[in-house]
This record gives sequence, structure tokens and C-alpha cells, in this order.
Amino acid sequence: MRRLHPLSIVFTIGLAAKRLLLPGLIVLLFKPGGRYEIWLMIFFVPAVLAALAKYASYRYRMGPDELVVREGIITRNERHIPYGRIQNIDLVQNLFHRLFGVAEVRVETASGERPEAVIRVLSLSAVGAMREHVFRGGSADRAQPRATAPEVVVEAPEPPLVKLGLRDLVLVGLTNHRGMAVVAAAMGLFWQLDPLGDIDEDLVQQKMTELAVPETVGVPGPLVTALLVAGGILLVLLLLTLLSIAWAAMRYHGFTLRARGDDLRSEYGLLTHITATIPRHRIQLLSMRRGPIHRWFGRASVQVETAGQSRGDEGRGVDRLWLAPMIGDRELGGLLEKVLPDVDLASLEWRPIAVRAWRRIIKRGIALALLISVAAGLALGWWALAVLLAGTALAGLHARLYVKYAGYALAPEAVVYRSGWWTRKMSVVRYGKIQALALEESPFDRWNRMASVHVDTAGAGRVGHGVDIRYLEAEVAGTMMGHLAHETGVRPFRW
Amino acid sequence: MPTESPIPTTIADGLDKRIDPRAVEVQRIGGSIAAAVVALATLIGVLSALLAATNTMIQGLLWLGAWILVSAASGLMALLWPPVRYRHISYRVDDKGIQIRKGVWWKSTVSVPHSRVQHTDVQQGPIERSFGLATLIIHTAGTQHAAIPLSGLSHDIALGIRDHLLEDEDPRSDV
Repeated sequence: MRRLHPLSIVFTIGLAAKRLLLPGLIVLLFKPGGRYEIWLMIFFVPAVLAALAKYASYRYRMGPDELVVREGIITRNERHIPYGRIQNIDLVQNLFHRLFGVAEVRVETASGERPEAVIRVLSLSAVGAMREHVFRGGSADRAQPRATAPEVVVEAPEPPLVKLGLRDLVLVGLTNHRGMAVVAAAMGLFWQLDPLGDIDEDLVQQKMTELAVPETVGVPGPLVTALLVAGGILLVLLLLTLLSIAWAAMRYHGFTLRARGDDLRSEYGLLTHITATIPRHRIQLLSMRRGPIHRWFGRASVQVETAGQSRGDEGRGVDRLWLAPMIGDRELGGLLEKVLPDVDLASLEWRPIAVRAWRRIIKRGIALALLISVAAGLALGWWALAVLLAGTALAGLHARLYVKYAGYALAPEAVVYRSGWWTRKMSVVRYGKIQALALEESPFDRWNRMASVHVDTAGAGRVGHGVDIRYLEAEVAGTMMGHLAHETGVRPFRW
Repeated sequence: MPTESPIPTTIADGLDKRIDPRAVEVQRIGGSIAAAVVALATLIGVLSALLAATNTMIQGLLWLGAWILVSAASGLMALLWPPVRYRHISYRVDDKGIQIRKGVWWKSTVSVPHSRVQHTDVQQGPIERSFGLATLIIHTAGTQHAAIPLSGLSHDIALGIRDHLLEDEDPRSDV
């Protein structure tokens, strides 16, 4: 039996301190007065004892064909995880872990809402030994259920499939509206602490009036106000974008994706370094996005949905969602060939959705424009007519372009759907990964003899785009259901 | 088109079938109970509001009138809707899997291939049990269609479909 790295005591206590002591300390420093955060600090004492107990009792063993983890003093728990069932061994290293050359290890099986075992913390050499043991010991078992496994496992450093440079990181920041999330978190903290609570509001009011632009300058007041507001909004947007870029640069710093036998392995992170495995056969859905910025720079981003991944994964550090946060169009072909070897995305036979659908889409757009212009009419008077006109023109443009860029393809091994003209999205689901099919008809659909086809897959649905084809001609949708049901039925499902 | 029938029963015959007609009664009873409970709760609410606040006679009568109207409408719905709903539910089981059609206004046809059924439940509520009916729930590994319920089956048929869906894969479909 092996033990954890002795430093794990320090890290477990550190984690407890972060959760139990930090809120209380912040409250004590910035906002004196009884709060429940201070009571929370009491629980730090048992947490320290628990950390000691955990180190003393935690043992793991790498048997000939299974990983055994034993823990607990009062309630003993022994967990056996056969190597053949292990899907991932992920590594999470935050700044302190890296300082001491240790890592947190997460062992996952397909059953997985949560990692089967979180081993906190091991030295890097112990991790290497475990990885080698598990994947060598389980290799015979792991190769068996795969239809396509002619590849030889080469450990030689291949060139990475995806590699993000500084420019890519900036683009990720520009397309990934993370700045908002950062601001929301800051607002939450601000509200929690309420540092302005004691400030005299009258004084603030007075200062504000002093600072306000005097009307005697000669420029009409409302114009100045409008300019100030516009400038303020612009400044906020700029700041948000900068925050987004900073977030992306930290999170995905040095992102690389490499093929390792049947698995893909991604490594990224500036402060918290993460090594995650994406088993290729566990990919349920692959989705590509190309927004205006992507197109301008000749790039795309690629997400995948894997089985047994919970929604909270991103928060807990390991993010298996991104195959490539940003990838050049030229490298994209090579990546897709590696990830979906049996689907030839270059020579798809695209079929359109119902062309008549533009009339339905434009009607909705005009209805929306009417609503907005009626509301605007209350404030602007007859100028609202201009709003209506512009809205109608926009609705027409949207409807035409939507129909033009939407389409689907039934490849020999997969169904592919694309939609969107501003941000163009494309999703691929292999027939073997389809779980259920649904044909849906709303009253409007039936009135227009149309239907939608929805392809359901496993995974948490975190990728925003899926194969959910709307505005199909009713007969086309019916035939498609039959085709998909047949193709799915003849393929056994394997996680 | 069932080429051969590996299942001795008539369950997997590939024909569109209605659910059990007794489901209409079950729905009506359930719906009426729900309508009655809601009516009673709102009546208590209306009455206590009337007693607490000072109202004119006319205001009070208006409130009560509104209550009677809404309660009568929901009661009527509970009686009239189930037969309409019944006519729009059908299912089809064959050796490839199961297909369920539902919906009066928003129609949906869900199709689950045999090999994608993870497990199934057969549930019976008290009203269903007294009528000998059951609800079959088909679980898949999917996201939006992770659990697909089909209620109003006779208990025997629900068990029959369950047994058929959980039967071992037919060897032809193993590539």
C-alpha cells in the first residue's frame, strides 16, 4: 500500500482554510460585526483534525488489474477501480502544487457524475508511475471494445494537434465573454461586504453635483450627458474585453492538444496547470463555432461533449469541453481527421432546410420589430416608424441569411447540422452515439407542413449547439427520422 | 415490416397502437382531484381575503363569481381534455425499438432504438392501480430524452413492452 505525499496535510488544511477561514477573515477586516462567516471559522479546528486523519488513513495500491483506494478511520471505505474501466487520469496543479512538485489526481470512469477518486496530493513521480501502471495494465482490456484501434501507441512527442499562441489567446478573450463573469463575481463580493454601507449618501450626492459638467460651458446639457453616457459604456466594454483577454490568457496559457494512442491529451493553464485526457471514443458530439472575429482571422473554435461529464466540471478545474479554444482553418482539417477519422467533413453533401421557412422567420422578426417600435413610440413619437422600418429590413435580412446558411448532411457515419449566419455553428454526431430521436411539430409547423428533428446524445448539454434541425419539410423530416433510427439501431452503443 | 418475429407475443408487431381506453377515466379522476384541490385552496384564499379587507358587497360577489368561473372551467377541462389527449397518443413497438407519439397542439414523436434503452420503470399510482393500468418509463443515456414516460398502458402490456425492450440485443444488430 502507498501513502499520499506528506505535503497533502498542508494542502488539505490549506483548502479548509480557504473555505472556512478566508470568508471570516475578510469580514473581520473589512466589515466588523457578527456574521455567520465568523462562526464558520470554528469548523476549521475539526477540519485540521480531519486532514491529519485523512493522511494517516489514506492508502492506495496498484494491483495487477485494479486500483484500490482505502480511506476512513471510523467508516472504512475500500474502493476497487478496474484499470479497464478507468477513462481518465487528470492532473490539476495550482501554483502551490507546482512550487512543491506535487499534483492533485482525479481518476474517472464512465459512470461519472463525479471523479471516482480524487487523490490529493501525489508527487509527480508517483503520478507518472500510476499513469504508466494503469494504462499499461489496462491496455489489453481498453483496446478490446474499440472498433477502430489499429493505431500503435507511440509515446514519442508528436507535434501537437492544437497549440495556442498569444494571438490565439487574445482572440479567445475577444470571443469568450468572460469579462462579464469576472465583473459578476466582483459585484457579488462587493455586495457581500458592502464597503459603501457607512458612507454618507448626501455627501456623495454633493460631490457628484460638484463634478458634473456645468451647463454654462455653452454646449447643450443633454448632448453632454449623452456623450458622457456613450463614453462610459465604451469604457466599460473596453474594460470587460480586457478582462476577458486576461482571463483567457491565464486559463488557456500554453494550451496544447496531443494525440496519445486513442486518447487526446490537453495541457493548459498559467497559474493552475491542468492535464486532461479526452478519450476519443467518449466524444458524443463535436461542435464548431465561427463568429465574425473567427472568420476575420481565419479561425474556428471546437468543443466536444463527453459522456459522464457533469456541468460543474469547469468549476472544479478540469475542463474537457474545449478541443481547441482557437484553431486556424488550415490546422482544423488535420484535427478533425484525427478526432473523427470515419467522418469526411470535407466532402459533405449539404441539404437545405425548407426554403419557405424564411417567410415564417421574417413574420416573427416583424412582430418583434412592431412590439419594439410601439414601445419606442411612447418615448420617440413618430420617429418610432424609422425603428419599425429598420427592424423590418433587419428581419428580412436575417430570415434570408438564416435559410441560406442552415443545412444538414447525412454522412455514412454521422449526421451533421449547421446553422447561424452571424455566428456559424456546425455540430457532428456519429450514429453510434445517438440515444434517442424526436420529431417535433408545433401548430405553426403543421400549418406550414414542416417539422423539426432533434437528435439526443449523452453528455451534459453544455455545448450550446446540437443537432436540432428546425424548419424541415414534413416529408423530409419523416424520411430523415426513419433513416436516423435505422442507422442508430444497427450500431451498438458504447461509452 | 416485421420479417421474422423473435417475440412470441403480439407486442412487437410494428403496428401503431392506442393506449388503454380506461386511461381516459384515470386522467379524468386525477384531473378532477387536482382541480378540486386547487379550487378549494383558492376558495380559502378568496374568503380569507374578503374577511380581512373591508369590501363592498359588489366587490365580494365579483370575487366569488370569478372563483366560480375559473373553478368550473378547470373542472370542465378535467372532464373534456382526457378523451382528446387519448386520441393523440399512440405507440409502436417492433424489433428495432419503440416509437411514441404524443401531443395535441405540439406534437412529438420520440423514437428509441432497442440498443439505447438503459433501463425501464413500470410505475402504478393508486388510481392507475385500481384500474389495472401502469406508466412505463424508458430511460436512455440521452440528455433531453433521458426519461420518456408512456402512461395509460394496461399493466400486462407495460410489463410486456418492458420485457421486450430489456431482452438481449438481437444478434443481427451487432455489427
